[in-house]
Amino acid sequence: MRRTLCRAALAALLLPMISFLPAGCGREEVAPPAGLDPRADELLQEMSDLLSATQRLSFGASELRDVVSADGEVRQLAIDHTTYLERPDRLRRELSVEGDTATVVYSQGSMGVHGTRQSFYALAEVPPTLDETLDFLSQRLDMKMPIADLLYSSPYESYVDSSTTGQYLGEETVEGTSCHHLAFQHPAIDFEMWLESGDRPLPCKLVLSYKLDEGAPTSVLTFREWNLSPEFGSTPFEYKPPDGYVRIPFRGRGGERVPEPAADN
Amino acid sequence: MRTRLFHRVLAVITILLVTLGPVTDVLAQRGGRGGAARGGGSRDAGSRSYSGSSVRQSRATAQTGRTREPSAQTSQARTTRQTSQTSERATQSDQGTRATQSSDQQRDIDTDQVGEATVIQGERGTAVVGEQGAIAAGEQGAVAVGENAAVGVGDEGAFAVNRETGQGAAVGEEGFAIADEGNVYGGEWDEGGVVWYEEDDWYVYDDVEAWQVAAGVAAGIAIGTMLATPPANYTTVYVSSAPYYFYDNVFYAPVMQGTTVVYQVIPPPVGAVISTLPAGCTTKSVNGVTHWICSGSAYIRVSSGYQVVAMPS
Repeated sequence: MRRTLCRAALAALLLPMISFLPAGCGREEVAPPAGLDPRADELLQEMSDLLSATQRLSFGASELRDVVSADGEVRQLAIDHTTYLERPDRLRRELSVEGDTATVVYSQGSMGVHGTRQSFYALAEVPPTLDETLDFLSQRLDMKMPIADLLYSSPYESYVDSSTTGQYLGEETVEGTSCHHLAFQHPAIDFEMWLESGDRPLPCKLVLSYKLDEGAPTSVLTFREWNLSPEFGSTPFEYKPPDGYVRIPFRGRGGERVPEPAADN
Repeated sequence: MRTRLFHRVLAVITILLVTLGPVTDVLAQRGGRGGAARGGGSRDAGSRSYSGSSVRQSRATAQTGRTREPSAQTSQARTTRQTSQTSERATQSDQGTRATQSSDQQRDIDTDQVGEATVIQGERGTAVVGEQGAIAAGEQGAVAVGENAAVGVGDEGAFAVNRETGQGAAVGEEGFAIADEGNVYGGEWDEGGVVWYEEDDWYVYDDVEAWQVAAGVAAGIAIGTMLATPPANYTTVYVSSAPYYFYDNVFYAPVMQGTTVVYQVIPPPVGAVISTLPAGCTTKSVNGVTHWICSGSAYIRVSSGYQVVAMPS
């Protein structure tokens, strides 16, 4: 009897407390998208082939990123990106936001990061190839890189999978340059891309719509100063923290330790 | 065995009482409502916002088990595409309307598979379901249910039940009740309290602070928690030239997450010196040296205060 009462009391206690759990499990999946327009597919492939075949490149981008606050308010953050890439295993990124500039240098399996606002830097051991490292940065370190797709050995495969649909929307002018306008949809993200008309189909503009996020924030990137044959020595890819900076550890997405290079750079 | 099991159950109650605030804060952040505060990384430690991700990253994150459907707000936002193609706009508008109607009838949920556990995240709470039991936390409380025991804590009280032994305890704002071996005990107090079972005896404390002092429990913020900024009025403590931030008996270490410096709650680092000990310490003499044992850390007296040392065996 006592146990029966106990169970009843437990049920009475538990039910109201767990009633916040969302309903709606087992809802129906939305029908798969129709397909990828051949013209859009072709242009995206051309852009991908061009970037894949380029061993050294640099470019800049101005990003306007929506940020949704805890109370649901959306504000826009201006971020400036500068990227230097040397395939297969060197990358330098500089991104400026709200008066702080973060520098990320990846070279042959190790990476260093520092900012200008606080005098700290961190080193991490990362995979030996750029593709693996880009995956590592996004999945393990939760590093946000809206331009990362352009840096993979095959940007096309990074942008498109079997669930992606896409359309060609015609030619438009972006910052004075004639560009092809493409739009793509995926269950996880929608994106639009403007590619330079002519024989250099480089991105002029990119709009990413994070439709799974509260408020469906977007990132709008306008590209500039594409250079497919830059002259830079090894200096941009040699990580050296500023004088006086203190080394701190990296933490992954869940707060876990990230392996550090065996020897300091 | 009975004592140990029920001791654990009640320990969970007390831990939940102490840590519920920070835990629910973290869970709220994991719900994606925190949002990144700057580019290149999330200031909102633990957040799984997609914002700022690449296409590949968004796809990969979505494929890890998230099954959330776009909300009404999201679907409406999807219709604001930067295109002038009228027919396409009309199609999207239709889709947005349908999705809005659907979302009105169904709440958003996320489902992640973490190891062998399933994490279910809703608008108002999170649940983790494993083979051995389940835990759930929402805006107004949290519960943990195992094979033989359950504990819960809410805004106005907490309970623990052990099905195997038939023991139970409940704590409310105005009193407590204990059921043990056929006997029922009860009492009243002004505001909250803790019922603690240890070494075959029941202990009742009028408030959490009193229990913390007696039990030597640290302030209620979980080790590993990451904050965007250290608390105000912190003191910087250096150990082997590494800076740590110290406030209210909690140490924070600066760590890099993405491209952002965040502050992680850590156990007191060996070598750190603080001016005063936390409440509720006990003492232990080791080789003639007095060690203060406070919330699982050991301190010895030094000229400038108390130094964290390795826990004596």
